[in-house]
Amino acid sequence: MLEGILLGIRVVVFDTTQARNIYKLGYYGKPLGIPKPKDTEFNAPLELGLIEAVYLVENKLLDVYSTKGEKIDLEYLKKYALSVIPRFSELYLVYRDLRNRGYIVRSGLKYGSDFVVYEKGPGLEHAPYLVHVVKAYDQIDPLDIVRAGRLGHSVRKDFILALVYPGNKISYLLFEWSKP
Amino acid sequence: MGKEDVEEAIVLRIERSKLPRVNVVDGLDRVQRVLSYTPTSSEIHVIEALYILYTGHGRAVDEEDKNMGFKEVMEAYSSLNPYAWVEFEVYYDLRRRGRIALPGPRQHTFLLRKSKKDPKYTKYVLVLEESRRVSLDQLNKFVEEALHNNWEPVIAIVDRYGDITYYSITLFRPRQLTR
Repeated sequence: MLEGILLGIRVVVFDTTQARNIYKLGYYGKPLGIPKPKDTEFNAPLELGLIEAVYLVENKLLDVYSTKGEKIDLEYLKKYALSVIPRFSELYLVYRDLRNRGYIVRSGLKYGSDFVVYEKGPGLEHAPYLVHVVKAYDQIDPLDIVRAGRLGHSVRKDFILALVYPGNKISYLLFEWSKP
Repeated sequence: MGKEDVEEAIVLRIERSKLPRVNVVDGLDRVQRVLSYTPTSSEIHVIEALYILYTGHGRAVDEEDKNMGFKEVMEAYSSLNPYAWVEFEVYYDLRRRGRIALPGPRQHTFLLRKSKKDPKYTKYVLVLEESRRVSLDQLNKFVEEALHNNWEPVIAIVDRYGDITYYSITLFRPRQLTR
């Protein structure tokens, strides 16, 4: 079983062979000091975000340990994630839904979104989806929609709002800039 | 025909109790020409009336036959509908670019007709305004209603400077990908 250590709000896989194996599974995590890995043959520890780590643990692909060497079970890891990521519940639902369908889901921070979603993988396609996760019964300022459209790359104006309903139903709305 | 002749021809009666409906007292045939479609009765929507006034194609009077200008009609409608100004901005933008827009079927919405000859509606536009928060669920329902009717859902977001950004919305259905 692949093993990671919980360090703050991330899980680090120190064994570089295991690190490569996890990354190969579906572009999970980021090799230390390699912002854009050219391939899966890097030689570095891998850091996973908590959302990624929970998903891997839930799918029995990873075991997470504390720095004291104690194994952390899934339930505790989820509770911990919720305590440090207030929107963890809805973020994780969307992450899991898209991952389960085979999409590559990574942090969208550099595009100003929650996730950037690929069908093939980073660097392999031109226009990934930018996904913003929201609770369906929340209200938003319409200007946030305009901001979401403009936050990404200057030419990228399409994005998805993932509306999470109670009961975990998700509705995905794709916004495309238009001039009717 | 000169614009001045048309101006004289369209006369609208604004009865505050009947807003947003406005009665066309005179010049219904010219109303059709200005709005680019044939209204089903002698009543038009106040947004259309505002357009006729703003573009100088007619004049309006109130219940007591006192003249009402664009400003007075806008004030009257704004007291009933806080979106009045931004709805007009969107309507004006669409008409200015040659689109045939009909107010409704719901509040703050327009339907766009395919062409003068083809009465089919193609797009359903919802007007939103900066700082007026909207429920995402309502937005989702708007999209579902549009798709149910085969209309393309479009939102028009008006910012505090009157700039309008349009977004067309589709339901994204994630596929099951094979790896």
